[in-house]
Parts: sequence; structure tokens; C-alpha cells
Amino acid sequence: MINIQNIDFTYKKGKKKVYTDFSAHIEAGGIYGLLGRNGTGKSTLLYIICGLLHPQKGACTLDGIDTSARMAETLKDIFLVPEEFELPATSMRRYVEINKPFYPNFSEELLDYCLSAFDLDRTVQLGELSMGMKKKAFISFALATNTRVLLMDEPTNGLDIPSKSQFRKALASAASEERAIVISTHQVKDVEQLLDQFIIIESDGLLVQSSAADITEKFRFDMHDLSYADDNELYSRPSFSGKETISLNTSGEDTPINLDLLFTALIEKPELAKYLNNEK
Amino acid sequence: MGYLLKQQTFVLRSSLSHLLLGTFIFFLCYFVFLSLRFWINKSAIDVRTSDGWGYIALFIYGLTIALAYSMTFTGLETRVKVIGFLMTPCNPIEKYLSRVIIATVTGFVGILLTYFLADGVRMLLDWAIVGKQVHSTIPGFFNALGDFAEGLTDTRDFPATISALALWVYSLTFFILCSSVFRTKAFIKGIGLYNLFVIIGLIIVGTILFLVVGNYDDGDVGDREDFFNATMVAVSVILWLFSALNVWWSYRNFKQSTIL
Repeated sequence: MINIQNIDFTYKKGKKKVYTDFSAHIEAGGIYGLLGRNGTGKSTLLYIICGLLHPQKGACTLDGIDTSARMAETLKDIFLVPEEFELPATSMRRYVEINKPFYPNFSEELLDYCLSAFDLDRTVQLGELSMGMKKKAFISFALATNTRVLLMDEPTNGLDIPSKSQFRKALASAASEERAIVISTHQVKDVEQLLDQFIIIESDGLLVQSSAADITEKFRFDMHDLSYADDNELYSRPSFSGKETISLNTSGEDTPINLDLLFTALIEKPELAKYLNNEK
Repeated sequence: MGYLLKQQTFVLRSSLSHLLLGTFIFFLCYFVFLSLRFWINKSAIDVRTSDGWGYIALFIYGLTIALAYSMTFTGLETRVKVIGFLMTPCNPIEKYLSRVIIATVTGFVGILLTYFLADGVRMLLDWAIVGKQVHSTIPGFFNALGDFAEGLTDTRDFPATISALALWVYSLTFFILCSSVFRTKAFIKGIGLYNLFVIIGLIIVGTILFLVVGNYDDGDVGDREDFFNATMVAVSVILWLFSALNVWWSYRNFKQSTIL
């Protein structure tokens, strides 16, 4: 579906390269978590995928077509929810009327479902909404477009606690086998239950690309007493009730992924990535 | 394309209405300024005067169309604004054409209507203040336009008229180019550059004419005219080529634009 091949990218004014020979791939049917520290280029990667930024070397393709050309045939399959956006001062009904003709698979039912999940309806005046409410309206529209690729940059920023739960509900209803959803976020707790694929990037490029199934097959995530010691333990950190550990999964038993712990572990001990990248 | 035009007209409705309102106020101020002395004297405006005003109105009309073209890519000043437009599922050429079509309709039709409206308001004021013999400048405007069109069919006036037309078309395409290059204040920046280019162009053409035509001291007047006409046609050909270059360049700029 989406193939990012050996891209180099540098912002014109910046001396530091954001990406050097970076490659990744995104397949339909997955909800991808794009994780990384500040400044590692998560948003940049989303912009490159949808053709809003052009890599100096390499290419990003959707079904073999270079997305940087921004042709209609690729754009109708990609929708981006940027971190910041503007909505016109009009009703949701009018907004939908004007924009839905561009998306051949637009689903009125899904839109109504998502809007109701967010306690909104089509009569709302977009210009009068708070930023959080605007985000909910825009996310509803984005999910209803039914594009094959949906890119979301920090979608839960600005949403209150109930809205985050509503967001998960709406996202789960919009996910399908034909669709890839990529969520770039710092707030992993908001979406970790939904993610089934992970792309973790560091300042020098791709650190890990792995599925949730692969991670749970290789790693165990446990909570132990501080005195606990195990030869299979790869990483641990103290917590209020003992210590959180990542160890090699030798028992074959699946444990829920502690994404926050995994991310911290990969940043602090990048060599752990070798286990996930099948290099060890 | 139809959906895109509808969407973009909706997106640009605020900028376009500001442009048309501004043009209307400008035309009205211009008419009121010219009418002041008649209103003070409580005299009637004669038809010949209003014909003269028509010529000036034609000039202002041409200038304001350039202003409309300088707003071809308006509303794309910030990353937030540009993302929505660039992500709309249409080919770059469709997006480019949609903006040029909107600028063309706004420039040629919208501004003409604001001119008519401003002239109508001025006539109402005339009628209220002077009370008789109210004349419209619109026939004068169309007379001026007719004179220009006549120049294109008249063999004698053709070289000068065609080069004037070429200069105007060049100006319009130049402002489209400026709009694609400058994200803010495209008209102001464009005017500065345009004046620079026109002055340089006039110096070059003027020098050629002076050096060549000026040396026909004892020559036939017909030779001077022939050379002048040939120069005008050559200049207009160059301007047409530069106009095409401006359009191509502005499209290339738009197509390759990113959110940087």
C-alpha cells in the first residue's frame, strides 16, 4: 500500500537531516502508532506520506504512485488530520455538502455515527465551536471519508477525558481491513488499546516497525516487587507498586503491551530494537 | 472541476467580497471626487466629460483586474490554510485552473459590476444634488473599449494597439506569477517588481528606437514608421512569450509548492 523508500529529508533552513535513508511500509487493515520523541520527525513523516513535503532523495508511493505529485487518484485515498487546522464559519451540513463529493467512498452513516459518538450533529455551526469541539467535528468528517489511508497527527490533543473515550469508539467503528490508519501521538495511553502496528522513530531514523502480535510474542510486560530478578529481564523501571519489567517471552503467554514502558525502554536501550527487528 | 470551483468560491468568499467592496468604494470615491466641482457649482455634467471619465474608468478597471489576479492564490499564507487546499483530491492543474477561473470571473465580471453599481450610486447623488441632466460614464467606458477594439482591426493603429494589449496580458500573468511566489502582499510586491521590469523594458525599447529611428535624419518618414511598427510588433511578440512563461512558471511554482 504505502511504501516509503530510502528517503532523505532536510528542512531548507535546518542543517540537521530529519531522515537519512529512511524506509518503512504501511499495509491496509492496521491501526499504526507512529511514536517518537519531540523533533524526531513524526509530523514530517505524515506530511511526506501525503505529499505535502517532498523528500530530497527517495520516494513515498501509494500503490506504486509517487504521492509527492499530489494527483487526484492518490489524494482521494488519503486524508490528513493535522494537529492544527481551520474550519470555515459554516454549518457542519454545509461543510459536508461542499467537501464530500471529493471522496467517492464517503459514508453518511459513519458520519452520523461519529458525530453522535461525539455528542454533535450536522446542525452545529463550526465557527462557534471550541477547538476541542472543532477537532471532534473534523475527526468525524475524516473518518467518514473512508479513505484507504487516514493520517492523524496528535488527534487526542485538546480533547477532554470523555472525548478521548468517544474518539476510541469512533475510530474503532471506522477501522476496516481495507483501511490503514496512522496515528502520530505522544499520548500513547489514549490510543494504545487500538494500535496493532507500531512505527517507532528516533533522531537517526526508524528504530522499530513491528506488529503488536510480534511484540507480545517476543516480550512479556509484568509488574514485580523491587527485589525480583530474572535472567530473561531486558529492562525495568521502578513504579509506585514495585517495578515494571520487560523480559523475553519464553513461556509463549501473551501479556498486554505496556507501550509507555516499551517506548522508554527502546529509547534508553536501543539495542532492544534488534529483538523486534529480527536482528537477534 | 465543478465541485472544486464551488468549494474554492466558498473558501474564498470572504476575500472576494472584500476585494469587490474595496473596488466599489474606490470607484465611488473616484466618481465623487470628479463630481465635486459640478456639485459645488450645481451644474450639469456634460456627456463629453463623462466620456473622458469612461477612459479613466477603463484604465482603473484594467488595474483592478490585475489586483484580482494578484489574489489568485490568496488564503494560502499559512501551513494550516495551505494543507486543506493541497490535500483536496484534485489534480494540481485543476486546482490551478480553478483559482485562475475564480480570479478571472471576479476580475472581469465582478469588478465590472461594482463599477456599474458605483456609477449608479454616483448618478443618484448627481440627481439628488444637481437635479437634472444626469449622465452615465458607462457609454464612455464602452466607447473607450470600442476604440481599443477598433485599433486591432485598423492597419495603422494595429502595432501600437497589439503591443498595448500584449503589455496588459503580460501584466495580468505577471500578477498571477507574483501570487504564486509571494504568499502575502502579492499585489504590493508585484507592483514594485512590475515597475522595475517595465522601466527596464522601456529603457531598452526606447534606446533602440532612439538609436535607430533617431538616425533616419534624412530618411523617409515611412521608414521611421515602418521601423516603429516593426518594433511594436516585436515587443508584443516578446510580451506574449513572456506571458506564456509567467503562466507556466506560476503553475510550476504551485505544483511544486509544499508546506515549508
